[in-house]
Amino acid sequence: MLPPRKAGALPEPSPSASPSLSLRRIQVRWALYLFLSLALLWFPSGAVASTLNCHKTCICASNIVSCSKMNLTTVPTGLPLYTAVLDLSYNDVSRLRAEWTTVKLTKLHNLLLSHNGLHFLSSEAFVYVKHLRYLDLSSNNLRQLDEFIFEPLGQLEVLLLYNNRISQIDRSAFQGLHSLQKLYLSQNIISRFPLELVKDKNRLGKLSLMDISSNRIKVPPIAELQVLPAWIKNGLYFHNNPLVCDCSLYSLLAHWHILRLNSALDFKDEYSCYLPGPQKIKVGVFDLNRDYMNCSTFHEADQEAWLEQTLILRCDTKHRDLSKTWVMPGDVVVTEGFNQTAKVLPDGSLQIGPVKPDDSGTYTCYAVSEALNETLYVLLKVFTVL
Amino acid sequence: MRLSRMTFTAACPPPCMCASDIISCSGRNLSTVPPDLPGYVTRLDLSHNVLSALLLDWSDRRLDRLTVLVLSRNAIIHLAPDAFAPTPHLRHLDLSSNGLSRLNASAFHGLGELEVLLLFGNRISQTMAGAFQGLSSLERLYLGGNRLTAFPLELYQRNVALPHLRFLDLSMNMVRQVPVQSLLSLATWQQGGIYLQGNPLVCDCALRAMLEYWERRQYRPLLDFREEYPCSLSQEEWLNCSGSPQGVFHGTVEVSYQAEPGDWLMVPCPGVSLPFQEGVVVFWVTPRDGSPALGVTDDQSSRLTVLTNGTLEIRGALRGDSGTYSCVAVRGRHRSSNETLEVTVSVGNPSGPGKSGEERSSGGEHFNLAFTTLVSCVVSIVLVLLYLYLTPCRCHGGKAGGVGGCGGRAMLLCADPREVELADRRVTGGKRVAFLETGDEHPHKCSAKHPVMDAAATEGILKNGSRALEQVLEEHVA
Repeated sequence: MLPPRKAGALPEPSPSASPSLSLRRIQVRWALYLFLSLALLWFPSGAVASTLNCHKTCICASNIVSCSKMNLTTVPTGLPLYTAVLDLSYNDVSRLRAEWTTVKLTKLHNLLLSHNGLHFLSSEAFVYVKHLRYLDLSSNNLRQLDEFIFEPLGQLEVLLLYNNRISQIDRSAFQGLHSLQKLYLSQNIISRFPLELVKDKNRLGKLSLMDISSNRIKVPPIAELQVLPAWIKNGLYFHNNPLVCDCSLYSLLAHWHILRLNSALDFKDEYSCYLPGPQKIKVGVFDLNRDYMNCSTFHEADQEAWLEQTLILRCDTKHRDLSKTWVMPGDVVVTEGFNQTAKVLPDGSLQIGPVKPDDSGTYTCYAVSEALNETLYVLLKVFTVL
Repeated sequence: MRLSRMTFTAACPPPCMCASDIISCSGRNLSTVPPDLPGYVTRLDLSHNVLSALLLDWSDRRLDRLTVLVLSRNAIIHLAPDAFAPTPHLRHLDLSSNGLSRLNASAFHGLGELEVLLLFGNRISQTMAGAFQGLSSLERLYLGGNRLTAFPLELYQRNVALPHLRFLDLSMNMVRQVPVQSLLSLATWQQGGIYLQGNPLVCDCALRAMLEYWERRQYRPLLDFREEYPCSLSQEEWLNCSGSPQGVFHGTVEVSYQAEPGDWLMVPCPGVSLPFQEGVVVFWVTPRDGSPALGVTDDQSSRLTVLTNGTLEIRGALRGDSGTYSCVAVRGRHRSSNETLEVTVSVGNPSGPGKSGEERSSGGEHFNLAFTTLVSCVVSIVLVLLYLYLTPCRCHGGKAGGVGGCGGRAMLLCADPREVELADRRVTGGKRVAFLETGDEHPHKCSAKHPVMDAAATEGILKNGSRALEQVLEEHVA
């Protein structure tokens, strides 16, 4: 008969096992129990995220869900599939994880996440909200934009990233944003002018407004900026940067001002630059012609052509999608089926040629849409070879 | 002649933050709108403040470019008449979560381009006649979470002229009754955008019939919020609304009628059990979208009437009467949903009534579309698999043309290790299997077919990477 065992006593170790090994096993076992119980303690509170409550945490008006200023640390789960606008501004969602929504929110058009202290965006954060049209990430703590971070958002039209701490923008950060019209990067610490967004093959074709004002840009790519079409220059804001004073900078901005482009006209007084030299004197760019560097304004060169040449005159309007009509020198309107020396191309440009000396003169382009109109003049000089 | 443009070179108003044409003054404890707002602003955010009113001339200049104005989460109790005169081109106005209790007649005067108006979360108990007058572009109106007790039918009346109102949120109000017949008279695109969930609606037969009809037509409010509407599905309740106590349907009813002009037509209501009880509620929706729905209580002297047993009577059919008629009555959910409850009437030569033909063919079209999409999906998958696995694997080493002549299989096997790594980093979502750069820098070698001969062959490492490398080393040693 076996000796009675005390309650709670551990079973006798087998004779073959050494005492220290059994002790080790006991320790491991208890460590495991401790760990498991701790895990059970912590896991539920971490994993249980708040579920959407339309009576307490959020205000719901059919397809608008507004959870602004509710001390949320995570995005509420259980968001209805019909949600079109989700307002999470003024909360504490500091990380936007990949699984912030586990189902596709195909109707979500507006996502507002400003004022959240957001510092992390998962690379998969936007895979379930591909139909977003407006994304507000302003006034957060983002420090850099990784490659392809916005790639799923093929329908995004407006992206607000102002007032963050962005210093680095990967060259592929905005890849995939085929519909993006307005990009706000103001009030960050960007030192490199992201020219690739408006120029060359990976540019964002619909981008008509790019705001990189109030950053740390010193030397913008003046020559490349000058040759961009007017509808891009119109929305290219880079005022309030620590620019280096340079006559080419003056020339560019003075020209933009003459063209009445919004970027130069609306913020004329906020374009300042630092004079070269140790003292770092800050002056207004538009004062460079008189007081400081004696810069001269850019003069639009007249269009020149040789005899018998065929050339294209551009109607470089500030806005897109205007219907354009050309009037040749002598008040001759260019119409369909006119004599084939003058033809209006699909993009609104005028193709003329072969030109004769009496084709010289002022060509006028009238561009109209429902709400806007613009009138542009092109002076053509035809040279004959003697 | 163009007027000279005002100089807009005004600086960012001190309490606010400006990002070119966006001005954000939210969360700054403001009790009045900051002065000197620049004229170039397109989006102005004054939310999360303590504004109590929007007075006339809250902006000292016209804000011609302002399209979005956010005033939510303030304490606004008063909107001055013509308050929005400075912002004639506004498209989106957010006044949600404020303290508005009444809307005066000229509150939104001048906002002819406004498309979206958010008024949810206020204390609005009635909408004064004319408050929404002039909002000729308004498409979406949110009035949820207010204190409305009646359905604001005036929004849909012609003199108010909101010709584009296709979304009306009336959720979470205090509406107990809605004018069912008037709602059924609205155009489909209008009816389908009326959201009434969360109201203490009294479930009577008319409401039940309307909700059944809206659900059958798959209107979004019913699809998305059904459980927040009253009139749930208990059998006993709806038995009082139609037919015999057992609720059993007797016999079949014609769903298609052919008549000659001048005929008298009697169209019974399909899908309801007979005999009808007295006082049962039936409405008929006529083919012309937006023409009044017909009810039992209507004037019995007009040409189209509804008899007390629910039958639609057409005295003297005209060609224009052709189309699909819907009988709105309580039938209960146990009715199979694919049973047609619409009636087609053709008057004159059977050259097809427009609407029902369209509806039927659109159903057919939907099926065709789904079928062709499925078939093309399957075909594409098959083609991709063919391309990957059946094309010959032949690689050209070191040519500028890269892997010309290789199929997909070769591309998989002949990728440069550096490219594979880069591809891996991006494959997290399964986006790309292999990708091809302009390919002039990486000589591709395929050890399966061409054992490496060159001394400088270490570049081409494949899936069987280490084996290939060992081969190379062995050959060198040998």
